[in-house]
Amino acid sequence: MADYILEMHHITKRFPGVVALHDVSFKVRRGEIHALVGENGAGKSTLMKILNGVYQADEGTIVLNGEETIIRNTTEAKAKGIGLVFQEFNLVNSLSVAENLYINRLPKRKGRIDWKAINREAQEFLDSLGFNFKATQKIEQLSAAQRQLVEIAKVLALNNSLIVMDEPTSSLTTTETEILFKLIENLKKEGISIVYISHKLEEVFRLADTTTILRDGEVIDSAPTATLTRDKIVEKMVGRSVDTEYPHRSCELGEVVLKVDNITRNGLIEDISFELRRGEILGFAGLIGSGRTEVAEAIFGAEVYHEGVIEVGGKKVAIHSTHQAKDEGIGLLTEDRKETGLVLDYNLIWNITITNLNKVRRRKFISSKAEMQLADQFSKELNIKTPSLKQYAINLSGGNQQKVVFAKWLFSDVDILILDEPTRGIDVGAKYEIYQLMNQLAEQGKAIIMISSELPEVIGMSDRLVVLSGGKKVGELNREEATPEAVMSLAVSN
Amino acid sequence: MRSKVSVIKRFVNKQPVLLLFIFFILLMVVIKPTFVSITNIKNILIDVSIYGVSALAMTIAIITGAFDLSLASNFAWGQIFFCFLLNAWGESPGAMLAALLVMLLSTMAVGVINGLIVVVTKIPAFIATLATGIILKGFSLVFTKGNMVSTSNPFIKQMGRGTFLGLSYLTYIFIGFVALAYFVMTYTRFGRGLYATGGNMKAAELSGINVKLSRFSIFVILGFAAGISGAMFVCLMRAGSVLYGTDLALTCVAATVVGGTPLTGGKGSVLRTVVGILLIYVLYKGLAFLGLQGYYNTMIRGIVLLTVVSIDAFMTRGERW
Amino acid sequence: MESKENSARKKKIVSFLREWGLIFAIVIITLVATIIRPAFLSGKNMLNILRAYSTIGIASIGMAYAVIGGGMDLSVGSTISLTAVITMLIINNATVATVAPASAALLALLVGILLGALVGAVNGAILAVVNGRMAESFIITYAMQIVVGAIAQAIVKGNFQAAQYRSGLFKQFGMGFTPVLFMIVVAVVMQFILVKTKFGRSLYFLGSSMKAAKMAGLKVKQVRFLAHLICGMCAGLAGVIVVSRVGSASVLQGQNYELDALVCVAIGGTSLDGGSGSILRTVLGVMVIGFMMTALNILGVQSNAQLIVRGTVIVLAVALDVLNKSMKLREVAQ
Repeated sequence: MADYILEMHHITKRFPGVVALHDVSFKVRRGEIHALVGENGAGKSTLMKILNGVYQADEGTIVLNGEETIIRNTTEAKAKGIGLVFQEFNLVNSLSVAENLYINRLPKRKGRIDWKAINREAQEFLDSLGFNFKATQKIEQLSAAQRQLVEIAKVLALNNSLIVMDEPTSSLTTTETEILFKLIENLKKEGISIVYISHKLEEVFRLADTTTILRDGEVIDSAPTATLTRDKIVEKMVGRSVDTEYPHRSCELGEVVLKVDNITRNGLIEDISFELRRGEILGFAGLIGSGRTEVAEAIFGAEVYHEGVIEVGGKKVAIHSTHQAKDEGIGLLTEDRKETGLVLDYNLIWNITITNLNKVRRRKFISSKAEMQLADQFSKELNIKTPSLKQYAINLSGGNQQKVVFAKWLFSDVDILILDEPTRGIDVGAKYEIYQLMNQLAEQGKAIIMISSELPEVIGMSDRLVVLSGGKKVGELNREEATPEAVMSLAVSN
Repeated sequence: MRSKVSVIKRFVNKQPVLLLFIFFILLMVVIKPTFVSITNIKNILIDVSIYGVSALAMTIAIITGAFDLSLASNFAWGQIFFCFLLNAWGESPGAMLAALLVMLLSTMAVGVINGLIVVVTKIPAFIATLATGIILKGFSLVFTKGNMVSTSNPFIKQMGRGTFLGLSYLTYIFIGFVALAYFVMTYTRFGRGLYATGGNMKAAELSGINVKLSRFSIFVILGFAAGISGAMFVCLMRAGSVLYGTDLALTCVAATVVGGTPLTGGKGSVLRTVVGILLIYVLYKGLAFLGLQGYYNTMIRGIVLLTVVSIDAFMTRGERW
Repeated sequence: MESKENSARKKKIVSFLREWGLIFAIVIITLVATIIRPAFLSGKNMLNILRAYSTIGIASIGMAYAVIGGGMDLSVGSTISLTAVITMLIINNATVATVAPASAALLALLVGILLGALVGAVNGAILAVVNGRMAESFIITYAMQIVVGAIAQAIVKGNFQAAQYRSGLFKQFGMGFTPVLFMIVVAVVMQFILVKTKFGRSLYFLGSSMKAAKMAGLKVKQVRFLAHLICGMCAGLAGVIVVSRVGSASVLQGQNYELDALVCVAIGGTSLDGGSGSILRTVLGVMVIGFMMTALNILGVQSNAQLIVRGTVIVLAVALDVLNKSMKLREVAQ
């Protein structure tokens, strides 16, 4: 038997205008956990898409189990025992967990689907994995974390010999992450190989036997994880040393600009109160589903709140809609920039100016010249890299797209900015720029709420931390008190 | 354990449309008790049976996340072509069977065309079927020169008039199709594949379900159902015309919605639609029974449909943000 | 996988068709029709076509607003029928000795537009409340079509109404170049609103993604409502002018108008998914359809058979749009 379950030799993939992968060789041993890391756009997903038959390599070969193979499409990849856990959910929400697990091979008895057998088998399988939900539950009744586990179970049910997991923990809470890690270790014992893609280096160190680092479509290093350090990996990923992860800022806090009293959204959040000052960055920490985004949506008027009072600049306001919130000087940068932050097939000018078209009106009507000038000014201030402002937003990298979202809200002249996962899915270099930008805005007197699932980030950036758990505020920590341990113990307290 | 009160509350919250209908009908029965007569019930069931077959198909389409606006035109074409073939080929059993099969093939061919347009060109089903519906209507008008086509075939007449245990033959045909549709949607992989396709097309595709085939076959089923409904209609009226059943597509959607299958796809059941179409026709007939005829009847029908689809859309408004 | 040159060539063809296809189509149709019957190219015939299609043009412009906003309005035809019969009632009642007074003409114009606005407002209000997008607007306005059509029938008891006037301002609305002028004014104003106002820009965002529009702090419900209101107003105006032009009114007056409007909007390159499109192109689309239908008449194609042509044109126009979009996406994905 071959040592390597998968060998990808000298893979090159070109897209019009770019070389996405250049002479990449990637080998996975039987029964090992192999981490694949790199900035966004480094080529990780392109490589995995080639493995899954979504793309075909221009050059190079794939060897599976010592045999050279060609994978033309995802069905073939599946048939060859390659399983892929998707980052986004690919479940049918209106159907049960059991049906989702066996969707394409529902067992039949006497010519009809045997529902009893399906539900029983599925339940046994879930129990064996240590997942604590019912096979008969509909997906729509499950939490985001549980759905991710179903996604994983779906792949495991197929008895693959090689499983690719793309950021599997991004929506898991600590408890579920632990379950998953145990599961992965068990799979390894059974001789199953796992390719583990993650931005979270802690996980890489915890799990991976080998780590391969990609940068700009090339393999920079591939070595046993034990021989690497965190700093080394980061340096290799970005191609330069990152001095301080979180830039320092010193500034005076001003008066209270936002006061939230006992905000309640039935069944989602309960009695949340806090204050936000001018020049302050207030962090919102908590697990997925703890109610952070729900608070933001209520303040921004995107969803109704049933009880509570919001005061902006010392004045009580009743916010029922997003445009009202905007008029009160509140802006929300949503966590999903592709769906709700930007309109991807509009150009940057349109995307930036939409929040405040009054500013580009000359004699009552929109002036394209004014639009162009102002959009140009904002894009320069934020250092947005694009060949032209007429470029469609979809053609920009994640980091630059996020900067456009910032530009859009700075354009609206709001004083209170709520940032929901502002650095999600963008690479290390762009993250640093976003941090600097946040500090700059705070220094200019904006008040910022930062929601983030990355604990080091939210601790490093915030002046003060509000910790939520199970829809309730469970604590407020100042900079000195906010250690990862303190935050985490609060976050799991409810 | 849940208390009875909260069960009722949940029902009111989840099925306001159904409740509204039951209320209307009870009201009607109170105002005009003579409405509940054997003949009336039998007649309502005949209408329900004819439109019901198409409504089943429409429900399956909606569960799959598709839609067919050409249904009415296809239904009319089925009537016209069936009458034409019956007249042309005579009254022998073989000829009648051939007429039925050829007519069904033609309505299914329309389904094939719809399916190809939607699946291959990726034009939204709404627009594609709106267009093919217009084309087919134009074709039918050219075919008939705008006239009605009638038939005096005695067997057909018997099919429309005959009863067994007090119910029309047509009603038994409908019951047969209900059982078939329920079985397919609940106990076959094909049927479950349709649910998955409507619930999350991408997920279904990645799970190895042939989504294209699912979506394509829906239109063929719709074409088949339109043909069957057309044939049943001919049994009743012994004629066919483009003017018959122009509101079929919308009535089928309304029946689906009244039954409680949401227009968002992936959920629902054909059995619910049987309840939906029954309620709708009880209401329609009731309106006629109260003396609302002609355009007033049409107006009320329209308002009912408007109300029903608006309430359904209102219930799901949160999902569209 | 396709070769690069092949897909580049395909892309060129599609974008060429989108840029110049309409003009190209008009030229070809004119050429063919002129060869068969030289009188086609005469100024008089051109004016006839434009006049005949000006009302479809006005209705199409309204439809374009609904479509750009990510919706649709199938009640346009019934609305035109309703305003047509009401307009005729007003004018005939006011007519003294075969002269329709100017005041009645202006009243009819006002009432027609208001009636259209009313239907549009009901559509818009429902759709705003239920967060309706294309699917919902399709079904709701379809039901509205039945309701409004039945109301028109109930008002005139299904009867055909002939004009009792011979002259007056009202007759002018439909004579000579006036209907075309109406269309041009509406087109210019509406294009201006679309491009130069906050409402217009918001409409594009709404059509592109309702959620993104909401999260940008736009007045989503208000914009949705206004789009349908404007669509209804255009239909109302078209209803008044059509009565003046043909000199009679019936409940069938607006039949198939919503289809023609959709055909023109789609052929004008407005994506039926919403979020893009222009009024000027819609007007070009109207001209293509007008020229084509007239040419078909010359060729002796019956009106029933023309339904087949209209349906086919919708499919082709939308297919071209879908093709263009998928190529854009493929380009982006790479």
